[in-house]
Amino acid sequence: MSLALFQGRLANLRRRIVAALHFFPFTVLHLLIHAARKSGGTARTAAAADAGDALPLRTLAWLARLSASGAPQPIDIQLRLPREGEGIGVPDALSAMLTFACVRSIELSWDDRVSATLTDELPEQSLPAHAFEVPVAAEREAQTLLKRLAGGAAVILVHLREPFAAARSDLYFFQLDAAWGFTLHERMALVRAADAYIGASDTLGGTAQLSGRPALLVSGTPGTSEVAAFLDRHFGAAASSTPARSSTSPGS
Amino acid sequence: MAGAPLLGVYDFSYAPYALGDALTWTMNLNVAAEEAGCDAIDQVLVIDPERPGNRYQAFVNPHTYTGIIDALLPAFLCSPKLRSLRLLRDAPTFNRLLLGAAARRRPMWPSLLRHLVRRLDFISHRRINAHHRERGSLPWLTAPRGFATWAREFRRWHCAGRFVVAVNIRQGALGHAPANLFRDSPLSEWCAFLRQAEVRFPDVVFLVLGAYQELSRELWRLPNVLAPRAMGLGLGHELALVHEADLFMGSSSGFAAMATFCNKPYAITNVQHQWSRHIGVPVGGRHFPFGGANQVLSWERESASRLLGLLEELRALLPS
Repeated sequence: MSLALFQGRLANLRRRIVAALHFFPFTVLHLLIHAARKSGGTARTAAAADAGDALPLRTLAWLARLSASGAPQPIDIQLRLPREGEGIGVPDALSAMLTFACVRSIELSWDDRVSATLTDELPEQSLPAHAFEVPVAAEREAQTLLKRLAGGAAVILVHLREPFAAARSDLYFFQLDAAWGFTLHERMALVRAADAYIGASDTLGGTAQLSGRPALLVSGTPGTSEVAAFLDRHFGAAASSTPARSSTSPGS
Repeated sequence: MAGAPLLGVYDFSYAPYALGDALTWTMNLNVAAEEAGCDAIDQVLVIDPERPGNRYQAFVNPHTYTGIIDALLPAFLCSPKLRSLRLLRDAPTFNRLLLGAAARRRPMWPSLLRHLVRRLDFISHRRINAHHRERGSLPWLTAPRGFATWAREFRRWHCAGRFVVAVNIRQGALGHAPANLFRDSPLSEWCAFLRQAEVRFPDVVFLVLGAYQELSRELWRLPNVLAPRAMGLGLGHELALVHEADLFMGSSSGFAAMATFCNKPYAITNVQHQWSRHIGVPVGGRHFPFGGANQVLSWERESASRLLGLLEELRALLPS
């Protein structure tokens, strides 16, 4: 048996013993031993002036920059939010934070006055796959759904407010719609499972960029020639003239 | 002068990932804070990523826990005294925090001893009932922080001028982790009820709440039904809608706990007999000890006629 294998088994045995002894009075020992241990890592604080729809992207951008900065990990983050006003972006901001494995603790605190420090600015480079992960169940569902809908064809995830006319017959256009009922993690997983992204520069646009997917980020409806050029650049020129394939919303 | 903020601890190594339990815990925190004279609460949720599960939920493991906690987090935003919410994914960091709080004799719930013996009373209403008995009032939950205005706007936009009933039909069999399926409600009876209600109560709109997987297509296509999850909304929105609705009707489950603890008019159906000892109500009792005339418990399995009867009874007690 190699030394590494032996050490691995020893560590596993130790974990199992500790788990088995997780009852009183051993919990007191856990408490004291843990409290005596030193912990490394980095603590970072940021503040948002409003906790509405823009908060998830800003949180994603903040953590992506932190993750790319080479700051010692794990990271403890504190996000200060205004006590009054809208807070509907908070759950999605928490979802975004949970995708970063390097984050050891997340603290939200509410104050009467906060000065905003968060911005939308993403790092220029995409992140390594292990740095930024959506839950495995969401990944699995996304991969399975796209496989069932598109088979082996390349999938373009479309996230626009207006209906989008699919431009190419050799590609599959998956159009996100609220009626699909996806959570943020599920939507992020779909972006990561797709081959390219066309849509808003929001949390999903950020996910495409951080995951290294080709992305056409737009604020309204993209022009036909803009889309054609984007697709030609990343998937080559169209090969056939069969009708384009595209998802329709379940509510339609 | 108000005391130091109360420290509330929810350790997922012995407390379940469940909506009703999270809300009951929050209600207990409110009660504990009021009794300790604290005007603010700091909530700490603890998960050990290597062993994130507990003995009740074997399906929670290092690969699944992020999705599961993500689906539950808005439930921890419902205390009006909430000052901070911390999610810790590291047992040593949590234990240092805990020891520091104990050294400063900071008020906390559960107590340090209760935490160390891993006995959190996350189900029963014992403390809540006692508080109500002593003081005649309770510190209720609110809509999740920052969602109240949104819920009012939603109502104005989608339900203008109508009587709004929030509905939850427990369909655990369709969920990600089926458990305790004997608590599920009969969907066909609810569908029949909603079809009949469309004729008998044309001014009523029903908001069907719950996970997207549990949403029935038959319900979705009814003209008097709105399904927030099929509109791209999440748990935070749904809890705010329970708070904003005129009435809640639904199975004894997580959303029923929200209606109970934010003091809405409600009809909670299919209450399990074994739950009687936890809530301090004898089997067949119509109200919680702190419940009013328009807050009704039904211990029977639902039928369309029974549901119509409940709606009729409560509609008559409530202003249009």
